[in-house]
Amino acid sequence: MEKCCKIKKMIENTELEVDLVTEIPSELQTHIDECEECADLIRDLKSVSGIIKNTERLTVSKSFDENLRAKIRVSMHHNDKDSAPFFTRAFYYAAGIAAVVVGFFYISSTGIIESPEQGNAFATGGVHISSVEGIEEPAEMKDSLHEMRRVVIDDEELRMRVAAE
Amino acid sequence: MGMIEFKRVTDEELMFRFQNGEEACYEELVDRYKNKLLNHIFYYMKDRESAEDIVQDTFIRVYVNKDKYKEIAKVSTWVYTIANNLAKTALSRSSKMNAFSITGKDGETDYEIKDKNSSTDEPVLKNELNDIIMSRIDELDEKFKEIVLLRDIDEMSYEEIAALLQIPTGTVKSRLNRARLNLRDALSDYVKKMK
Ligand SMILES: [Zn+2]
Repeated sequence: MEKCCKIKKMIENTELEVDLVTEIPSELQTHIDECEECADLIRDLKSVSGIIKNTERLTVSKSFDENLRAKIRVSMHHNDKDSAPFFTRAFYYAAGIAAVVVGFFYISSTGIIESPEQGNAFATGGVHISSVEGIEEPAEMKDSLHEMRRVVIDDEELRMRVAAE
Repeated sequence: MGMIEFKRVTDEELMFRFQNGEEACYEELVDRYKNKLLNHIFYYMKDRESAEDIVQDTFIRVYVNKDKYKEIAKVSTWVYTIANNLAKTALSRSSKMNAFSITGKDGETDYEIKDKNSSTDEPVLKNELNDIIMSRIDELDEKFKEIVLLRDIDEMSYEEIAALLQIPTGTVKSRLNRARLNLRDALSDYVKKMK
């Protein structure tokens, strides 16, 4: 008598969209009840599933939770963008204000501001503007602060990109 | 970690509550997934320590990127995707390192020597049967291998597997049959013993 390969063929052709270990359609059940080969195949599939399910499982080490908490603390500390730059920011603002004050006294001492009648202030706009640029020094400081924040954000983006990979 | 009060809470709800500041919900998620992920990643890494490192990194990313999780995805999909990507990166890094060390030793660039299964030769679990089952699963086509691992090792639902692999549930089931049919021959000695 020839061996029946009905269900085997169906599996190989991926015709069956049911898990034969857990659910058998009634029309197949009728066949299985009468066919020893196919019944044997179903039993084997169940055995295979059982063997795999019974393999030894690993469990995480005892220090897993503790290590995880510690690592999270460290990574959250690195992520805390606002706390560290606050002091840097404060420092830059203070430096900026100091520059304004120093610049103002310097310009006052050159007498440019007090003596517009000398004609140089407006006629030689360049001089005036360069003096103004001196006063504008905090803007430059703001730029470098902006640059710094950009770097921090870039770094954050880089980190996220790595995380998303 | 972990508390009884969360027993009936879904993963997605835990994640939502964690996003809203409930740290205990994060701890419950870690408890639910840590061992499953360890076994899953171990099958790829074949090294317990590296597998555990990857599981830790996965949970750190879940924590740090908690706001990036959107409820349209299953938590399992998100967590496994992160873990799989980390494992892939680690594997490609270590295979590069292996290739490099081989080249260094012999002083010649023989790329053929590099073998992704080289570590399967070493016994990884105490139980010999486990080693055999593991290597037989390893020999399956990638698309069958992952289905068997996700279903019979990780005990994921068909729907979770379908979402993770982005294939229909029917395909998950048909591939599962196919994978077990292949393993029936590969593990025939043990299948017979079970009868
Ligand atoms: Zn039959």
